Amino acid sequence: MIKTNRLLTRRNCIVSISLYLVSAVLVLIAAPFIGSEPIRPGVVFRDIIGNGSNRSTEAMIFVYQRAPRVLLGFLVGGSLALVGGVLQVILRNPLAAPATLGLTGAGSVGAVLAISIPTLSISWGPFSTVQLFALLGSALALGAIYLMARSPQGVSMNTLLLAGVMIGIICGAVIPLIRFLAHPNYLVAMDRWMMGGLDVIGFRELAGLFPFLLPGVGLLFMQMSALNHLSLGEEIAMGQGVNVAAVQRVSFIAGSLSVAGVVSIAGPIFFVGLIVPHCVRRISGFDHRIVLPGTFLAGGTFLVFCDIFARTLIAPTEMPVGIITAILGGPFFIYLLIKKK
Amino acid sequence: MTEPLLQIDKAGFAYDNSGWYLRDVSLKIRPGEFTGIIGPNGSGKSTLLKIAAGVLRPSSGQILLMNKQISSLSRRKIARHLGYLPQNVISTFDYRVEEVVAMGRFPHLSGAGFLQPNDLKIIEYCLKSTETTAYRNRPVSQLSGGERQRVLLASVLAQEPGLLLLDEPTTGLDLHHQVEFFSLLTELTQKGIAVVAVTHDLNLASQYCHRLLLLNEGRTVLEGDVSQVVRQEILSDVYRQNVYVGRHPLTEKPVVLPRLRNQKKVEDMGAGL
Repeated sequence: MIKTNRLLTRRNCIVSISLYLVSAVLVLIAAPFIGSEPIRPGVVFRDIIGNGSNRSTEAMIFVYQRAPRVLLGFLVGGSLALVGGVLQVILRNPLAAPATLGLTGAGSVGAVLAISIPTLSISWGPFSTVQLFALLGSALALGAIYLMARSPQGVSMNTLLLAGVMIGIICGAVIPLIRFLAHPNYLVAMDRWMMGGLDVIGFRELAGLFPFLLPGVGLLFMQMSALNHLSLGEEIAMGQGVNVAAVQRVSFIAGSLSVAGVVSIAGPIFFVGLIVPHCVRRISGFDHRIVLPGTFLAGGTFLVFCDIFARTLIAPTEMPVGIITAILGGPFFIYLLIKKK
Repeated sequence: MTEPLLQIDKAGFAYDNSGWYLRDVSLKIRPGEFTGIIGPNGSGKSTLLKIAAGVLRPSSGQILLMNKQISSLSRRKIARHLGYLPQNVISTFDYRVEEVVAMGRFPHLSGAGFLQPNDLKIIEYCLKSTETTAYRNRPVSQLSGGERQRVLLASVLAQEPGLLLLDEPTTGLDLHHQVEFFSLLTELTQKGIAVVAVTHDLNLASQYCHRLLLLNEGRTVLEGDVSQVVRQEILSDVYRQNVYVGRHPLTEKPVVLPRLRNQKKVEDMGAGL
């Protein structure tokens, strides 16, 4: 007799995640071919596989614009959603999101500062001046928050939450100050950066993302099982064998690393990190061994999907993707809220 | 006498700048023993239990789990021998009953912690022995207080511990569920599991526990058999409340009743101990 059970065996986990995996693969395949400039898959395929000497414009657009942009969108959306999902557990707060760490604001201050001083020109490896300043801002905020929240028992989650929100608010005041003092010529560049976006050319930016996302996302995935226990409470989690202080510290640092990397390239993109994890929990339950991989895949899928609209709606100009995420994602989440009742 | 599973040796603890101390409390727990920790509010019962579970690190003294310093063991290793159920478990997410029970397998699993057939068998057994199988698919938030406590106990039992530390496990339960819960704990002790329960219910402690530890203001007042500890003059003094201690007519175990203000002395009623 085969008894069906809904407990998390390897098989049940793969079945649950396959839904997200299939939609991710579909959107990753389709998205590069959709855009203001029509691209024929057959031509692109022939040119890439064939000898590289005589590439058509379509293949060039595919390789240097669409493919990196879609990949970047997927990694950015996935990482932001994943970080949000983890923070909601360790901070025990459903409103937690990547921006809660304060790094989004601090990174933005760095970037806006770099834009306002155009004589400043440093680059190192795949990083541009703006990126390096964004990273520097994030690093300073991370250090400050960690020093504030550190205690003999580990990292205080309460202090972390409050310190992160406070730094976010301070940065929110510093950015208009820089804008006010800066030369008007640079305001547009600042505004565009502040709206967040995925417009990259080539793979240089993507290369700059890997040193952050590889360890960051990897370490976050390693906490999957322990996060279930943490949502029951710190004490019972310890009693059941979870090293609570280590899980909290690693999650905080790995999450910060991921957010710092993402913000330095894509700027502040809100909403994905807050809403996607909640949607996945509504659909797949609360076991974070499903929620976290599902959230990463769904976050990536969602941002790439939204970016298609951002690129095409008012072509040849494009809209900031953050506007689309809120307009499409907000009503979808409200629908999930109502459906449950 | 069998080797103690857990030895608390002159444990001390102070919360930061509170002026409150736990001082030199010692206790030995042996297999199959049912130990109750009693005492007034703020006497250090929960603090002692947290130290015993390795959740708090004592500022002095030592805790030995199976003759090893508990601070030298990993959390997973501790959890394979010792189950700890704290007070007021509030979940952020609304897990289903069997998911909560399955979480108890954590110390035995590695990696992502996928369940093997053997784990499923143990979860099944823990659901059955706590009589929670019937609502295994219900979300925990929809359970009554009694059901919830049994589910949490099942989760801790899924760790397969030799020793259970329970912090006020029956607070908020009605009479029937209190009796059911303590009977279940007694069955566990008969299988050789050692149970330590912090409780405010002196009568339940007296009926079910083998030994009692009475704490007051962070110190041990008395440790011993139920009849040594549940005595009128001792409890009246520690709880600063005149009590009457009689005998349960059926079990012969001591029972504790409060004496109201202006009530006659026990001697006048001719039934005192």
